[in-house]
Order: sequence, then structure tokens, then C-alpha cells
Amino acid sequence: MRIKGRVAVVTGASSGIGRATALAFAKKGAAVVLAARREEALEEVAGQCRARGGQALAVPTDVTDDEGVEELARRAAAEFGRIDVWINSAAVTAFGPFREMPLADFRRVVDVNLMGYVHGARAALPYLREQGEGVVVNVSSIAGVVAQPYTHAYGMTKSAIRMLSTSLRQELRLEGADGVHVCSVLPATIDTPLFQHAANYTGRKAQAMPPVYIPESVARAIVNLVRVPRREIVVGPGRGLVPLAKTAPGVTERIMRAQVDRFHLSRTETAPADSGNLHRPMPGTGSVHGGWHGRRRTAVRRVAAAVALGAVAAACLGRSRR
Amino acid sequence: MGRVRAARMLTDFDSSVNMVRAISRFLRGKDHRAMSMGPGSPMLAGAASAAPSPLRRATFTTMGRIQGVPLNQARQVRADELTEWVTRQYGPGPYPAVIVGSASGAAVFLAAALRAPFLPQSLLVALRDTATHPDDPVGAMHAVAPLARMVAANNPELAVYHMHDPAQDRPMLENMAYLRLKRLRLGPVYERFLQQRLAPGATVIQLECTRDWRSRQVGERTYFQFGCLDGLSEEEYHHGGQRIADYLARENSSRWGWDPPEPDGRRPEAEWGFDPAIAGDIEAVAARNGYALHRLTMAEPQELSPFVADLYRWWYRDRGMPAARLLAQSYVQWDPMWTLRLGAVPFWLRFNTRPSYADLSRYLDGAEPYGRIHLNLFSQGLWSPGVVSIEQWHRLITAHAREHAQIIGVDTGAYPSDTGGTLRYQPAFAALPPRYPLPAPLTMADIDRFGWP
Repeated sequence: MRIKGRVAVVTGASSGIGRATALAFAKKGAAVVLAARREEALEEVAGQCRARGGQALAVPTDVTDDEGVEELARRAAAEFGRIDVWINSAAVTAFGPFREMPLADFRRVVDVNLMGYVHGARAALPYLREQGEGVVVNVSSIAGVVAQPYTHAYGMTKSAIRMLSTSLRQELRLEGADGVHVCSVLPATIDTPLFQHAANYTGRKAQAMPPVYIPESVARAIVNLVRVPRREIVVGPGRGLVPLAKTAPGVTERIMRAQVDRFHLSRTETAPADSGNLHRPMPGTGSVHGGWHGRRRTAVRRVAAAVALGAVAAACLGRSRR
Repeated sequence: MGRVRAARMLTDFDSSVNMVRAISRFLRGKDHRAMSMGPGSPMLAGAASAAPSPLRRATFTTMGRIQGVPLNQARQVRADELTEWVTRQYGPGPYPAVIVGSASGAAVFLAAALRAPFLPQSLLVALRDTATHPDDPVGAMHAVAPLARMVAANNPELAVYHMHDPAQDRPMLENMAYLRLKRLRLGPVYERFLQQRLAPGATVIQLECTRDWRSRQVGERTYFQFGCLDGLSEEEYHHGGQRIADYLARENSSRWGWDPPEPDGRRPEAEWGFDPAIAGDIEAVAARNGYALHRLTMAEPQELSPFVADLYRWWYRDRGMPAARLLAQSYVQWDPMWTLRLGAVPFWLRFNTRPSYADLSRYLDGAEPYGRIHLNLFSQGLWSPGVVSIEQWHRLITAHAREHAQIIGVDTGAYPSDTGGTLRYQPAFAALPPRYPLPAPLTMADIDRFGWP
């Protein structure tokens, strides 16, 4: 599907992957409908989208409110005449030992991350079916395949999102809606404010678990996915973890257990018990990045990889000449 | 695995840990040089204290970071592993007596005289914490509470006190949080020790410091204590004052005062206080094994110091020794072996602050004058409120010594940021003449004869 002139609805557009994706669609000439709880942040993103040449409409929405999401779809269709792409990207997370996590917080993560996507798909699909084409992109996570400790609710919802995508895909094919696609994106650790906004009951500051990649990579992958729909893609490092989880689940569990304990939760910075942005949005205008130096880290890794490849190539060349 | 972990988790400058180390090493015929952690070396001490002031301060802060346990290891804290570390420091016995309960430096010398091991009720495990501000007690309480609650949940036999003192412990607090773990039950490890390593008819001395402090409950058996026994009064910690404002200004703090959480009760002081919850178990074990139980109660940890000093003096005289030398030792820079070898009368000072100064002053005013008085002072890395200057200390001991008064083992120019002080105190003690052979232990009957406080 060509992006220019299309209408894309993006939930969770106030920060992180959702915001980066909205900006990427706007840059390609799409009209974007931005949804999140924070109106102030959405207006800022809308301005940035327009500055990139796209049309933008901000619709403050709480994705846990099914009627609100229906209204979002109606506003998008009323404003731009159609909906071509629906990107479910709104997500929250909560860190904590299972026994410490308040049930209300657990439920809220499920409501936002899972029911929010259900509401989105229910609102979008009638329009896409009627048009005979369109793409729903559900942003899942590698954490939906490779489980990790202390983020039970997040992992459960991200896993369920993959199931939702698969199930919807099957249903659409059975019903003959061949032009409508449902795709899943599984990002690894991305440099977004998700970790600062997370509910946290571990007593330790949550941080992005390295290696950290930039949200623009995910946004680019989503744009490409809309152009050429595929069932599921993994973005960022950790691609290897997905097959490893199938072939050596015990090893993967041990790796993730240690990784999360050593790198996802700080070993030197304590953190008070806090529900983060679960029940009320963070103040301010939001941002794409979380300050985890994803761009710098990505650049360093690429340079290191290039140097390593160069060294290998030089060594091979040297051997062949001898 | 548990052994290494327990040794790593305990904090080397903790009063209880140093009591155990000093007494156990004494029972094996060794001294307590460098807090039993390294060599006693005036040369190394000189090098450490010669650094410029900011570097010395940074050394204390760095020590705090090194001593703190990484946060991911907090869930591995197990009370029984810690008490196993304690009991492993001692030999097989059989011991004629044992001291169980509150920490007190004076009790180190009492234990040495009786050849009795010490089993502490409280131990310190510090967590590495770089996120909280020393002058934000509410923030610190909330930030550390989840981990403190977790430690308490994993150890039903413990009360966990998060102790936060931005005055005396400031350099340490910049990188660590103090969790004082107080046993509410004797537990199988201590019970086994008492059963197996005491002589028949031995005496169990239950050392009870009744000192309490305002604290706030933050979870089941989990409390937050703001401040501790040092140069400030409890009232000043909670309601501020000019001394605190001056201190914070001196420390270039972004805060003008402290705003601690509202306390919800008084509980045993985290470091020194005795929680009577353990008393029933001690009594039961003593009764079951036919041991005598002797309760030794004190209102303040240093209250025992004059009693122990007078006991030693009486003991030396009983052995025909002059008993004219007083060796005042502060915080954990104590050495029972050299005290006995020098024939010195020990006087323990809880710290280098006004209350300790007043205690020594009061004792010297009332005691038969000493010919020679030697004083060693612990350095905590900064001029916290109430720290008494070297000049004042020197004036005090000079005024009371008939022949000679000297501050020993202290770089007076670097004090109270004398980074090398830990390496210097034992060699300073050992350099004093004369030497005496180690005496036979005192018996409980001897102390009965002298008279308990």
C-alpha cells in the first residue's frame, strides 16, 4: 500500500513508538489521526506532523473506553473520509513482584495494552472491511514471546496481542476480506519514556535493558509493514531470542531472568512504590525518546559491527592472496 | 555460598560486626587491627590521611558505595546466614559465659575479661543507593521501603529498620541505605550455639539497651528511623534548629532543613536498642540447658563504660598492677587484646561527639585520677553537628591526667576526616609501654564480688 494520501490512526501517539510512527507517516504524506490521553502532547505532535507535510488531527482518547475509541474512528472518518491504517500502539507497563503488584494496576495494564487493542480493532475493522483494504498494526513486543520476571501483566498482554492478530487474520481470510491485513510488530528494547512512566513496585529504578534501539527504527518498520504487509516482524536486537525461546526455552528463561535482574532494574538506584502513568497521564508534552541514548548506542554498535566485518573481510582477502 | 554471601552482605563498620570480630579474634589470641579487615600500618594511614580534604571525603563516600550490597541482592538476605556468619567466627568452646543482645563497645571489654563470645541481636546490611538525597528523609523512606519490606517478608524472625541519619552518616548515605536487622527470635543457629558451645552451668548475659527512638512503620515488621544516637538530640532531628541549618549550609545542601515523616511510635533504637521480643527464647534456651541467665540493663549503650572501666581497674589492682593508665577508645576502634596487654583501663566512647565527651568528662570527674590518659577518636568523614574538636578533647584529658595525656592514633590535622585512622589506632596502642601477659579470665563470681551495675 502506498502511504502518501492515506489516513492512519495511531493510538499512544503522545510518546515513544506511537509518536515516532505518527511522525513517520506524516513525513510520507499520510494524514494522521493522533490518539492518547494527553491533549497538550497530542497538539504538539499534530504540529510536528503538519510541519513534516502531513495533515493531522488530535483526538484525546483513553483506549480503555470502547465508546471513546469508536468516536475516535468516527472522527477520523468524518475528517478525512476513510481509514486506511490503524496502529494500536498505546501501552503501559508495571514492574513488581507478583505479590506486591496492586490488582488495580495489573488490571489497568491488561485494560490498556489488551482491551485497548481490542477496542481499536473493533473500531477500525468495519471501515477497512467496507473499503476492502487496509492494515491494522498491533505493536506487541519481544516480551510477548520471551517472558521476563516482574512484568507479568505486560508480557501477558503482549503475548495475547499476537494471538489477537493471528486470530483476526484467520477470520478475515475466512470471510474473504483479503485486502485487510492484521500485522504484529515485536520491538525489542526501545529508547522511549515507557520505563520512566512505568508503575514500579520493585524498589529499584526501572531502566531500558540494553541493547537499546531508537523508536524511529520501529516507526520505519511499521511504515514498511503497511507498504508490504507481513504477519509479524521483530524489530531491534533480540531477533535471535525469538527462535531461541522455541528451541531452547530453558536457556532463554535463564538469560532473560539474569538480564532483567542485572540490567532492567537498577542495582544502585532505589525507587518508591508508584503507579506511574497507569491511572493518570504524565504531565507535559511527551517525547519520542526516553533518554536511554538509543541513537548513540545504535551508532556505536553499527560502527563496531562495520569494523568487525571490515576486519574479517581484510583477513579473508589477505588469506586468499597468499 | 551462604558463607560468602553473608560476609559480603554485612557492613564492615557496623558496631555489632566489629564486636564479633574483635571478641572472636581476641578469643583466638589476635588483636583487632584495622577493624579486623587489614593491616595496621602508620605508613599506609599517613598516606591515606595526607590526601587533600575533598579526596578524603570522597574516600568515605566511595567506601559507602563499596560496602553497599547491590539492590538485586537484597532478596538474598537471610537472617540465619548472617547469624551463621556470627557463630562461625567463634571456636568450639566451651565458653563459661556468653553475651547476647545489644551492641555496646564497653561490652567488648566485659566479654574479653570473661572470655565470653557475643551474639548480637542487630546487624547492619547496607544497600547500595545512589538515588536518594541524604536531606530528603521522606523520599528516602518511600524509595527504600519496598526493598526493606521485601527483606522483612523473606525473614519472619526479623524487624527491619531503615535508619537514615544525614548528620553523622552523611558521606555513607550518599551511596547507601542502612537496613538494621533486629532479631525477634533467637533462631536455630543461635540456639544451637548456646546448646553446643557453652560449658555446663555457663552464664548467659542478656545485654539490654532500653534506648528507644521515634520511628514510623512502613510495612509489616518494617520501620523507618530518622536520625540516630550521635551529636544531635532526637528533638533536633525531628524539629530542626539553627545547628542543622548551619550544618546544611556548610555541606552546601540544596535543603535548608529536614522534613522527616511523622513518627507513629517509639521503638527500640535501630542500632543499639534491645527488642524484648527475643527475651523469651533466650530464657527458654537457658532454662532448657541449665544455664544461669543474667540480665544486664542499660539506658544508653555507653552507660556500661564507667562500670567496665572500674571493673578493669579493680581487676588489675587485684593482680597487683598499677591500673593508672586509661585508654579511651571510640566507636569500633577498640582492641581488647592490646588493652589487656598494656594493663590499660578501657573506657568506651560511643562516638566523637558531645554526649560521649560529656560521659568521659563525667567519669573522669568522679574517678580516682589516672596517671596517664590516652584517647583514640574515630573519624566519620565530616564535621557533623556536635563533633568535639581535637583541642577540646585534649584539654579534657590533660585536665584529668596526673602525668601525661595524649591523643593517639589520630591525624589531628585530618580529623574528623582522618581516612587513615582505621589503620593507625592499633599500632598506636601497641606502641605504648609497658606490656603484661594476658591474665586468666574473670569469672562471674569475680564480677559478683565486684558488684554488677
